[in-house]
Amino acid sequence: MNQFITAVLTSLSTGAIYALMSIALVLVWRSTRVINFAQAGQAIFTTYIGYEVTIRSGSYWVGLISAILSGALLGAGIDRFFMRPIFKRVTSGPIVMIAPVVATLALLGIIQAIIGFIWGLNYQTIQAPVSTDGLKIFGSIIAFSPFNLMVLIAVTLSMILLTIVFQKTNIGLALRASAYAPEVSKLSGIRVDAVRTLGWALAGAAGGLAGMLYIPGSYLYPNAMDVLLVFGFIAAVIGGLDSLFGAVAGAMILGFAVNFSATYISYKLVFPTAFVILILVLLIKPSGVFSGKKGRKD
Amino acid sequence: MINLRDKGAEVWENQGRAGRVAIAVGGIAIAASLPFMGGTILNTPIADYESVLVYPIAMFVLMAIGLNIVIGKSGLLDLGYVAFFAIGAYTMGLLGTKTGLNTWEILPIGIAMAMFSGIILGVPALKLRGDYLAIVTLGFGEIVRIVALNLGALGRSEGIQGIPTPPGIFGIEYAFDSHRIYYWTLLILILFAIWMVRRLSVRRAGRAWESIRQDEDAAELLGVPTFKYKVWAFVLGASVGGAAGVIYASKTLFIAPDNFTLQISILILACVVFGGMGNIWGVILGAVILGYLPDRIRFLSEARLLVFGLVLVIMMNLRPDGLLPRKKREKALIKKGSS
Repeated sequence: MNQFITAVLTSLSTGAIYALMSIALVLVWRSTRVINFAQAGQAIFTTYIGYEVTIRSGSYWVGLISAILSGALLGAGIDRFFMRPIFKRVTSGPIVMIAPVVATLALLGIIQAIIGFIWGLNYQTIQAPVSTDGLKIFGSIIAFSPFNLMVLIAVTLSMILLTIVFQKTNIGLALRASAYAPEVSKLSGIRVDAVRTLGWALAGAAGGLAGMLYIPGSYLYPNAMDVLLVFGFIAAVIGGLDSLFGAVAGAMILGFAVNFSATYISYKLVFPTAFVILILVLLIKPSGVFSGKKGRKD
Repeated sequence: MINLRDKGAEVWENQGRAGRVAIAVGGIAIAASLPFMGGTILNTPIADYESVLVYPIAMFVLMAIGLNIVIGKSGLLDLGYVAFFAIGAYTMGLLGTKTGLNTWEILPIGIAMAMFSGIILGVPALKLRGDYLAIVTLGFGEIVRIVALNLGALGRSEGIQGIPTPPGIFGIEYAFDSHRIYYWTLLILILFAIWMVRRLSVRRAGRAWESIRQDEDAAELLGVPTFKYKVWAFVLGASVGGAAGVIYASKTLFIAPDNFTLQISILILACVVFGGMGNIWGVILGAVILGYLPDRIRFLSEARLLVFGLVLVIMMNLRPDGLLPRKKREKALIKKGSS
């Protein structure tokens, strides 16, 4: 019973982290139709910034806020100074499909190398603001800590915030419109390029938050978020890559599948389970389980 | 912008049969005598010139040619190419240490294993396109590494040690430090791969790949069995990667999962894109430059990934088609088609 409760709770908190990464990928995909491989690098870089600020200021919360802000700045900067020129320049031929992917992969390498230069390749830790020791339930300790609870709450709050922004504000309307029909949005007076940069900034902020929530339970090193990128992507594919709600739901499904197979069968199955889910979704319903629209063309 | 590719093609096309044979023989002779041409000035800080010629240069060239079949010729974005390299290397490692087979007997087995895994991955994955294919192949590359890391028979994180060197053939002995012998072995494989790609390019398969690369839907409508040829491209690319893996394991005598990270896939992709996707000479040039320079310049060798990244980002911005792009004629056709 305890094992079951633990599995459910850890599924929820890992699912919450996947959800942040998956939302970051979806935000970029909606605006740019690119899978942003640099997301792992952006997230870990801003986490390093958060780590530095946390150490200097002594407060995790200041570090968290600076990670989110620098994530937004970095995301906007990458779109403005790297991606936009490439989209302007590469307009025809088979390279159109490959160039953005290559560029984001290249950015991933650049960012991770820069981290290596500044902070070195050693493992660091970020002290969590609340205890990471397991809670006591029914007289025995389970692998779910107050910090995991904090992760759940933080992610839920940011989801609510994001939903409000997307559904209730003009900026959210512009974001949705230019994702849905960029040409028409342009004609209606929306500055699609600027909105796209905003999408990248939001994605960067989500990545920074994901890093600051994930790293205290793990270690900080340049490749720490690479696995999360893959899981975030799988969650996004389950959800249909286009839908923010789908991204969260997909992340939860993935979180449960991965944690339950790890708890009840073998911890070695984490990656294979995720990969099998990805293949199954892509083969059976490539447009995603939660995608309302008809299947994607490519 | 000047296009060396077109200049080269012009020279080649204006030659008679005798001239072409002369160019080919001359080119092979120059490539084969490279180990004798190096002075100490070409040594890198970590290794001497001859061993750099084997790894990374020749190895990168071979793998880049293989990956070029997948990415350059047919436009399929494969980010897990290192998987086939790893499968070739582990086939060599396992059979070489557990059975009495020697490298030359294992080479076809390794290639077959790589091709087989190419089919296993390709049949489900090639139904997807673009970024989806990229992420599935990326996942496959990681899966192979994780299996090697967790399977006791493959030595887990210690990998496999004491892999035998190839036995001598034609009176040539393969000593551990006789780099030039390995270089010539790889050169023969490279020449064979070039020959294979060039032959296929002008035949049905090459035309099918070209049409898939330009517009897959149109190709399908015109009756090209696109799926079949995509799997073929994938499998041929895998076979070259597998061959490179067998030789690599036989040369380094020791393999571990750490040798087969995603980084290798990205480096080979960088070689292909840097040199010029789809053009075999561009790809070779890209692999030579990107294989050699970061090792040569001490500052760069510590920042290999940074250099590769910067080079790629700059290339994508300034010259997205690579150093030696494909023929202009083909590009003109594409432009016309897409407007």
